[in-house]
Amino acid sequence: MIQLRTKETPPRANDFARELAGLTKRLMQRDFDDEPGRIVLLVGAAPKVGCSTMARALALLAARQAKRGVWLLDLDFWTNGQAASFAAASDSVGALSPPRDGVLNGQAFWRLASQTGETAPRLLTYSQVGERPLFVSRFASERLASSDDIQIQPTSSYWVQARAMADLIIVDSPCFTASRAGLALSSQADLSLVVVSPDLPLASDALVTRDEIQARGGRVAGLLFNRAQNGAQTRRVA
Amino acid sequence: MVAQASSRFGDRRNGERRIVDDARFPRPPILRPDAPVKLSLADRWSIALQSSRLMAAVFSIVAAVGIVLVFLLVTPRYQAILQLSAPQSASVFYGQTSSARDQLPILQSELLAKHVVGQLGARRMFPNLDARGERGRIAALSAFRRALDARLSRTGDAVELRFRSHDARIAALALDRLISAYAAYQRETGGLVDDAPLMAQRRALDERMALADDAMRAFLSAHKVSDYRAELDSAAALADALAHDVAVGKAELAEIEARLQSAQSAADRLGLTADLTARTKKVAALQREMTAATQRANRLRVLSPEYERLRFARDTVLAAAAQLSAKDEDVRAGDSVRLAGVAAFRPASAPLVTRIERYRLPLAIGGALMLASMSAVAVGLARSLRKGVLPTPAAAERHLGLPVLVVVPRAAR
Repeated sequence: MIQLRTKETPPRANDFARELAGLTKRLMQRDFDDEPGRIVLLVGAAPKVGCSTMARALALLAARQAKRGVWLLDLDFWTNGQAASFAAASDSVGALSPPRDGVLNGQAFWRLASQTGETAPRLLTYSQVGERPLFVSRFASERLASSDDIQIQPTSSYWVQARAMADLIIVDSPCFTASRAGLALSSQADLSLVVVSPDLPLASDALVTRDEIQARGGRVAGLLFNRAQNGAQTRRVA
Repeated sequence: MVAQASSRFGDRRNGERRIVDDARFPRPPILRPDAPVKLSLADRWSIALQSSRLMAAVFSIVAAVGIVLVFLLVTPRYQAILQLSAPQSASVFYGQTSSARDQLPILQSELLAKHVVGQLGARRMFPNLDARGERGRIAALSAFRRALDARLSRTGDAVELRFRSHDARIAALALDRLISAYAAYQRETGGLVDDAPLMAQRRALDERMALADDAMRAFLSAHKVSDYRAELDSAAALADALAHDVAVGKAELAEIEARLQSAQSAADRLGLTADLTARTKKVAALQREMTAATQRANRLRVLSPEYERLRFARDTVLAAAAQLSAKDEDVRAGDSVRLAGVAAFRPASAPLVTRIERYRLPLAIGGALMLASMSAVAVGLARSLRKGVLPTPAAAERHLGLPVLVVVPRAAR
């Protein structure tokens, strides 16, 4: 049985609905129904800026408009905060479905450093949130030995398959000072969004985040400004 | 390339978490980790507003403390300093020793307090006090004692006086009157009058007077005279009166003898003879008395030069004593009283802040509020100087060169 933690804030359907509506609409906009899904990397410039909360809210909003589905990939493999948060809010968003293996036709974007053969099955799984077309990831870190290294690789074939299966893939990456896992996927993402907050001295970290993403071929589309002072202009994506 | 980046999740039970791919994935040289954030004043104010609670706390504390401090600072305290020297320099005329410490009870005495309150008026000095009746008088005296601070100086050889009052002029006047009353008290009691030169003259006169008195007493005693002048006058008057009586008696005797010679009858002659005999005895007695009185007067007149010399000498001493006494009174009653041991006397100065007195409370409150506001703003702006804070979306856009796609207000959740 999967043991979920409840450290993350439980999601609410209307979180940031007004602020994120424009961005969600833009991300979900399609010219053709069979157009490949988009990959969005959300990374916080520093810890505690609210990156996971915004990723979760964005996923919930996008799921309303999704046809094939929205994936919320949590790169904090140890905490699995997104899955824990949805599990804690199962009364409002619905229970998590049994996990499905995240390996797609034998392809995966992760591997154990000691692994030489096939990708270990069911290390990364996806669970559907209630009846919504929303799938949240969970990494079975409890199955790892203390000496195991996890390597993240930008396997293009994996993401091609993923794009075909989902309308939107939201990658919730811990800030780079905590984990550099998101950097490996930045080149595969269509766009990266950096979450900043006025509470923390993160100007230098934000610069580092921007530059590192760009150095790996990623595209930083813009900033998500969280916890702005009252009166600050609320901007929506046109 | 199999992996561009990897993360290692080690044993989290000991809190360890390591990133292992730094060596394989070095940071690009374009990183500017210490790039300064250029913020406008509005941005800094936005950051300051994030610390609104801290600013409010600073404002409250500084305002509360500031009001008290500023009020104390603008409240005038007036003082007079009475310098009294050490006991060694105290008066020797009356055989007293007095020190600065001895003056404290006098300066704090009810006698002087009554004097000052009586002169300035209880209502004037303490307008908030109900000074009517006996209870009011006692209350005024009590208030006076509370307002008066008399203490020894640090060196211990001086008395420092302070008087607190709502009115600076009243404070200064009260101290001046107190010092005047104190000086008057010392004049009346002679406690500290410095008249050592007069005392020497007085002693010399006393000695001369004693000598003159002794000589006079010896003179009168030797001649068995209690009051020379009276005795001389009475003796002379008695001699004159007796001489007149003797003359009258002799005239009567002559008349009786003439009548005796012309008497016809034996009875008449017998009667006249007896009368003549009796009157002759009486005249003889008067003559003896007259002689004695004349001799007494003559003896006293012989003593007159010596008596006059002694009396002149004594009168001279008395005149000198009277003159010295008048000079002593002049000294005691003079305006410039020289108090023994008083090295310096500085009256309370007239206040210079009377114009702002009426605005004291508003000034204190206003000044404290201004100080508190400045402190709060300073604290807020000081926090805005924290390195690397992006206070507003505009600042973030400028600093990172990226558009802000979403702004989530703090209260959105």
